[in-house]
Formats: sequence, structure tokens, C-alpha cells
Amino acid sequence: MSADDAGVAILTREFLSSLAGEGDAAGAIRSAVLGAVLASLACSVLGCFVTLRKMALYGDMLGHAVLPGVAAGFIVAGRKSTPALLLGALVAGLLAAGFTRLICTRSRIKNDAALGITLSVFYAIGVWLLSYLTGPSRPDLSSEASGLPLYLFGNPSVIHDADLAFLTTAALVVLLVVVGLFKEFQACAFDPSFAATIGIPKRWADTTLLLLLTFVIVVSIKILGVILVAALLVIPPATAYLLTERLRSMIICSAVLGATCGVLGAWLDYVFDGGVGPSIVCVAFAVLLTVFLFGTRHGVVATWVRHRRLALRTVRENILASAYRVRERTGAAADSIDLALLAQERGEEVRATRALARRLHGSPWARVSGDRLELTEEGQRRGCNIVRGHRLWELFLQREASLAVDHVHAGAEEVEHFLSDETIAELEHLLGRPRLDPHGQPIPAPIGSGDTSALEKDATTAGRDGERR
Amino acid sequence: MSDDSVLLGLASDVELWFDWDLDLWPLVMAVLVAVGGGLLGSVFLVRREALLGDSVSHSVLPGVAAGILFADWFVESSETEVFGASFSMVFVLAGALAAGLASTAIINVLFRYSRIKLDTALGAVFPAFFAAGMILIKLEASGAHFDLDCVFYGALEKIGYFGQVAPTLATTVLAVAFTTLLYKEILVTSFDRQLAHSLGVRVGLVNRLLVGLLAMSVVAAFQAVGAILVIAFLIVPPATATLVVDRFRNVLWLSALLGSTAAVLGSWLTIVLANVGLETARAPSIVIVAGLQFVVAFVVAPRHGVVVEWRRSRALGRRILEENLLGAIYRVAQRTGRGSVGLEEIATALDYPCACLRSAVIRCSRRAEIDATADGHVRLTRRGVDRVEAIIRAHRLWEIYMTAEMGSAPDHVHDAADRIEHFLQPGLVRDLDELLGHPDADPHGRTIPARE
Repeated sequence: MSADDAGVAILTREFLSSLAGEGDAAGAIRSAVLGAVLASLACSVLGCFVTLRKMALYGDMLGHAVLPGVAAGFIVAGRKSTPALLLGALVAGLLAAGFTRLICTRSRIKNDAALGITLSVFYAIGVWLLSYLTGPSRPDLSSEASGLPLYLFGNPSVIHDADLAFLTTAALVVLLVVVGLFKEFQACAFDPSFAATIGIPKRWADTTLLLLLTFVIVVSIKILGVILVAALLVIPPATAYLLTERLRSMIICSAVLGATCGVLGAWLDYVFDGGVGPSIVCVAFAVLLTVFLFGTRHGVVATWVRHRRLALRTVRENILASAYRVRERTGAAADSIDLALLAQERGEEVRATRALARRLHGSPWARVSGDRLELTEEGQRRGCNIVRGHRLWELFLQREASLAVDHVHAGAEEVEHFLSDETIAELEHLLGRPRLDPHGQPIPAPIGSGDTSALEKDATTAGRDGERR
Repeated sequence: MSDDSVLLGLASDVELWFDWDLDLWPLVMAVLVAVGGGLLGSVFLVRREALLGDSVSHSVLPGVAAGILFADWFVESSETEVFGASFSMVFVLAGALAAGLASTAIINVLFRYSRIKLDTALGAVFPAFFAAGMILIKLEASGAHFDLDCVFYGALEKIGYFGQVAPTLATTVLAVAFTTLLYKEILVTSFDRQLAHSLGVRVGLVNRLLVGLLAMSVVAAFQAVGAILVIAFLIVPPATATLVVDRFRNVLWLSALLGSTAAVLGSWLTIVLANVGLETARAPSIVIVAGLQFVVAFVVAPRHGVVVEWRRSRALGRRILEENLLGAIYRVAQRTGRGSVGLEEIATALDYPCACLRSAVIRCSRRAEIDATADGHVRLTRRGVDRVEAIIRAHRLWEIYMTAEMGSAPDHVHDAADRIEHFLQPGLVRDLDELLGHPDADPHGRTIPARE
């Protein structure tokens, strides 16, 4: 299939027109898209609870393990009757779940290994039966059975009305159960012991979830294939988990993502012919990676930008605070500080201080001009507030957390950048409007409040003043 | 079709059992995959990383497909066999290793830099890689060399000469060499990472070597058993082995042995079935035999099997019931002053239904611990009294121990003593007696029976 732009455009137009079009071919495409959407929707809604209950790998196991049931259903019915195949798959899925549980409870094999054993042995039985049914020894069956391996890959181009009916039922059942038992599932997903105290046994919820999971997997495998069905149970919910904070919005988000991926996957398959299941999974995974990288709240890029901003702010505020201290010590002019004095205060080379001070460019606080740091009024206020917060916090640590005087500086150095004006005011009130910090240095009043006494007196008189009080 | 006469008739004809031309290389391949998988799988199983095999085997698929594509570009498709000892195999191996490492890296990054849990990250990444691989194969790489069927079923039947076996031979030899030469390092890194660090073992290096070897083995086994059945070779025989033996060394050789036995039996089963007209694939047959091995071990393993555990817990239940029965007879006889006691009285004293006690009565009287009197009552014999007094002694000494040494209130000690009395060995009772200074009476003031 040619994948050049013109071909893609033509095929896309065909795909879109057949969604609303008449005739058999259009109908087949419509069923395929509908099937893909329904299967993705059911999987991604249920998957929210599956991943929250840390049962992600159960979906993988069940996906593989329903295969012998499909083959057995075919053998019993003698033809590809959808109800028989689905019933067989359901039985196989439940047997597999029981087998895993039996291994876990009755031997010292751990949960993950038990899942691996069930997955591989059940899957082996499935392909063994398939190899027999489609092999040369049953020429009578091979034409009828040749469609069975489609359950391995998933293929909605052979979706019949019966399949659609089952998928619709599954999606409806999942939605109804999720809406009806929302509170119960929510409690079990986040706090099983709380759930137990309000009368929802953990086992009950897990069994319901497992039954629903088996049911959804069974009806979805014809679209998605036995291996990829697990991916739709995990990927859209994981994406939604990165995007939202509440369970309700996570479920809605996951459902929308799942359905969208279903449509996009069906379209990609129509255009490039890579298989519907794999296409849906690849789209969903691409969305997950995108959200992981560029998500506004938890995305890697957003977090990195936040960290950079915070680091820049910390550097700037430290310079402003140093400038305030210089002014406090030397009584220099408020709006212009010599960089050499600043470097001396910070115990750095002048060059290093100049480099750091340059990072104030672009801020409303200060800028380097020649050998001096020119501060705006706002910059002076900011520096004063940082020192104020620092010293109040030191006093708080000494008085309320009973830290030694020489242990309070490091804590205050970090916290000073995170204290809001309200917190500082509250601290001051709590500590009884103190004048001095534990090291005997004056605690400045905010600039602009009219009280600049701390700056006008030198440190020693202020200290004596403090002692007299 | 598959009646006994046909089977017996075939049994006489060795040619039909094993065709050297057709069946030799598949068998060799299966045994090699099983030995390598068993050894590596055991290591990952005891590290609780059993599903790493699952993850790696799924996620190498796009690498394999990409490797085939590159090989087609560079090697001018003069080689028809991609998976043999050929130049193309280098591309396939490199691609698979790259894909395996990339998927592991993405799983780690997702887990570390977001709030996604580890199992979710695992469950999201490897199916996505598998999907990408399916698309690549379907679009570009399918054809003469390779198709999707091989990924799902394995094509053990198509192994026909030494060249196809060579990569697996190499990885299996590596696995054997690795597990024997680095046995100590693997052991210590698997069970006690801290100790490994302090011994100067390079834990990270050992881990990377193991994962690399795993990826290579999975790829070498790819054509023979496919992407999914290889998991069984990695997990099932090692799990069976841990049910049977306890030491890591034994788990290693036993899982290799179990795996190769399954390979031989499974291949043989396929040949037999084919001879009676049932054509089945070979790789899944081997896995099914391995699964049967697991089920058998699960049920009848000598120390950890379900049957043994069941008998052990039944024996314990019986012993406790007998001891409770004898104790009740003793107490009721003391209370009423009569020598013999009716079964109903015992049942009331113990709050058990009568029917429950009858089998215990029979067992005790068979051991001559109780006598049945003419009126259907029972009486303790000398031997029964000895057994009861030993238990009462343990019970009361434990009560004293709890009040004297653990500071429990005297009215809180009875229930605990009631449970533990069945488990205190004679030696321990002697030590308790010694420790407490040979007391005469328990906290409730009752006499402690003397040691006989």
C-alpha cells in the first residue's frame, strides 16, 4: 500500500465518506469502527479500576488465557458461532483466574510467577488446539476454522451484527456497573480496609472486577487480539491518571481517550493496513508518551520548567537578600549597591556575584549597571521580605522546634523562598512581634510600612534595645 | 482412529517414532531452548522478576522486524534464512537488544518521572512495543523470511539444519557458562544485594549481563517457539523446580532437566499424535507437557505439594483433637470423681458435636490411651493419663511464664496457653520448668502435674 500523501488523503476521504455512506463495503467499515470504539471504550473504562487495584498484569494474563476457550467453543459448536466462542472464552478466563489464585494460595509461588505460568500454559493449549484445527489433519474444518487465528491478531473487518451486539452489551454493562457501584469500587480501589469497615469485602469487589474484566476481554479479543487487549486496559487509564486528579474525571477522560484511539486506530488501519488492534495500541501509547512529556500538570517538560523557574527565583531572591544585608551593615544607599560589597557579603569572587546578579535582568527587581546593582523599589521590598522571613523562621525554629541557635540557619535558608506575606505576618504575630532573631540581628519591618527603625539603628544599639525589652 | 491397536501397531515401527531427518534438529533446538530458558528463568524467578521474560519477549518484536528490514537492505537478500548462523542474524540480534533495552528504559522513565505504578508502566509499554512490531512485520517484513504466525505459534518443525540451531546453541552455552562460573555472584546478587555490594560484587554489571543474555536467548529462540511461548520456557520449569527442591543450585539443574524432559516428551507426543492423524504444533505441545509437570509437582511434590500439605494439616488437626479429647476426659473425670466418662459429657465439655469425636476416640483407643467400658463410656489408661498430664503441665507452665515473665494478667493467659500447649516440645517444657524454678502451682492455684 502506498503511503504517500495523496494516497493517504484519498483513503481518508474514502474512510470518512463510508462512515455515512450506503452499501455493504461502507457498512463493513462502519461496523469495524463501531466495534473498535466500543471495545476501546469498555476496556478503558474498566481499566481505570484495574490499574488502580494494581491488577494491570491480570488483564495481560486473561487476554492470553481465553484463547483455548475460543478453540474449545469452536470444537463444541462445530462452527464459528459467536455465542459459543465467547462462552468458551469466558469459561477459560474464569478457569485461568481460578488457577492463578490456586497457585498463589496453595504453593509458595509468588503472584507474578503464577500469572506467567497461567498465561503461558493456557496460551499454549490455545495455539495447540488452533494448530490442530487449522492443520492438515482436519481438512473438513480448515475452511471453517481458518478465521480462528484472527482472534490472535484481532480483526474487525469480519465483525458481524452478533459481535456488535455483544460489544454493545459489554460496554453498557461496564458503564452500568461502574455508575451503579461507583462508590463501592472507589472505596475498594483506594482504601480496601476502609471499604471492609463499611461492609464491602475486598474479595467481593475483586471478584466482581475480575468477572467484568474477563467478560470485557472476551468480547474485545475479536477486535483487538488476545495480546493487545491488555494494552487498552492499561494505556488509556494510565494517560488519564496523569491528566486528572479525581476518579470520576479519570474515568471520563479515559473513556474519551479510549474511544478516540479506537476511531483513529480504525482510520490508520484503513489507510496503512497495519492491523486495527496494533494501530489502536500505537495511537494510545503515543498519546500516553505525549501526555507524559507535555502534560500541563505532571508532564516532564512542565515539571522541568517549574524547577528551572524556581531555581531562577531562588538565585534572584538570594541576591536581593544579600543586597539588603549589605545596606543594613553599611548603611549604603537603598537603590544602588556596589557589587564588590555584595561579593564580600556573599563570600564570593566579584566575578561570580556579577554573573549571578546578571540573572536579575528581565526581572522587575534589579539590574546590573557598571559595577553597581541598581534595585527598584519592588526589589528592595522583596530583599527585605526575604531577610524578614529568614530571621522570623530562625526564631520560630529556635523557640517552637527547640533547635540550637547554630542549627537554625540552614532550615531558614531553604524556607525563606516559600514564605508568603500572610505566613510571615502570621509568624510575626505568633512570636509576639519580636525585634531580634536568634543571632541578635534585627528583624526588619516590611519596607513601605513606615517603620524603618531596624535600618536606622546600627546592630549593636538594636541588640541592646532588644535586651532591655 | 486413535484406538490401542493403532498405537501398538505403530510402536513396533521405530521409523515412525522418530524420523532422524525430520525430527532431529527440532528436538535439539527444543532441548537447547529449554536448558537455556530453565537456567536463566530460575535466576529471574528467585529474583521475583519472573515477568521480565514476558516483558522482554514481547518488546523485542519491533527490534526483530527492524533487524530483518536492515538485513534486507544490506545483505542483498542472498540469504534466505534470517534466523540461522548468518550475517542477517547480527542485525536481528542487535535490533532485538536495542528494542529490549529501549522498552526497559521507557518503563523505568515512566515509573520514575511520573506517578504511574511499576506494573502499569510494564503493562503499558510491552504491548505497545509488540503492537509496533506487529505493524512493522505486517507492512514491511512479512514474506519469505518471516510471518506473524511464527511469532504466535513458533515454527519448531521448520528447524532443519545445524545453522538454524547455532545461535541458540551459543546462547545456551553462554547461559550454562554464566550460571556455573558466576554462580556465587548470581546467588549473592539475587538474594542479598547489600551483601553483594559489601563483597565488592558489581551488582549492576551482573544484572545487565543477565538481562542482555535473556534478550539474546529470547531472540535466538524466536523462530522456534515464537514470542509468547518462550515465556513458558522461562517460567514454568523453574517454578516446578522451586516446588520440588529448596536450594538455588538444585533449582537450576532441576529446571534445566525438567525443561529438556518436557522438550523430549512434547516432541514425542506430537510425533505420536501425527502418526494417528492428529497434526499439532510442536512448541505448544512442549509447553503443555511442562504445564503438566507443574501440575503434578503442585499436587504431589514431596515437601511443598498440596497433598503433603493437606496430610500435614490433617495430622495436626487430628493430634489437636485427640489431645483435647484426652484433656476433656481427664477434667470431667476429675470433676465428677468417676473413672469413666460418657461421650456426650465430653462433647458438652469441648463444645464439639459427638460425631466429630468418634474417630478421635477410635484412634486413641487403638493406641491404648483410652479404654471403652461396657456402658459405652471411656476411661483413660495409664498411657493416656501420661499424655494428658504432659499437656496440662505444658499448659500451666506456659501460664506461669506469661504472668511471671511477660507481665500478663492471670485471667488473660488461659486462651494463649490453650493454643500453644499442643506445640510445646518436651525439651522446651523442661527448659520452662528450669527457668521458672520448678513451680508447684499455676497462676490459678492449680497443681502442675509432676514429670513422669
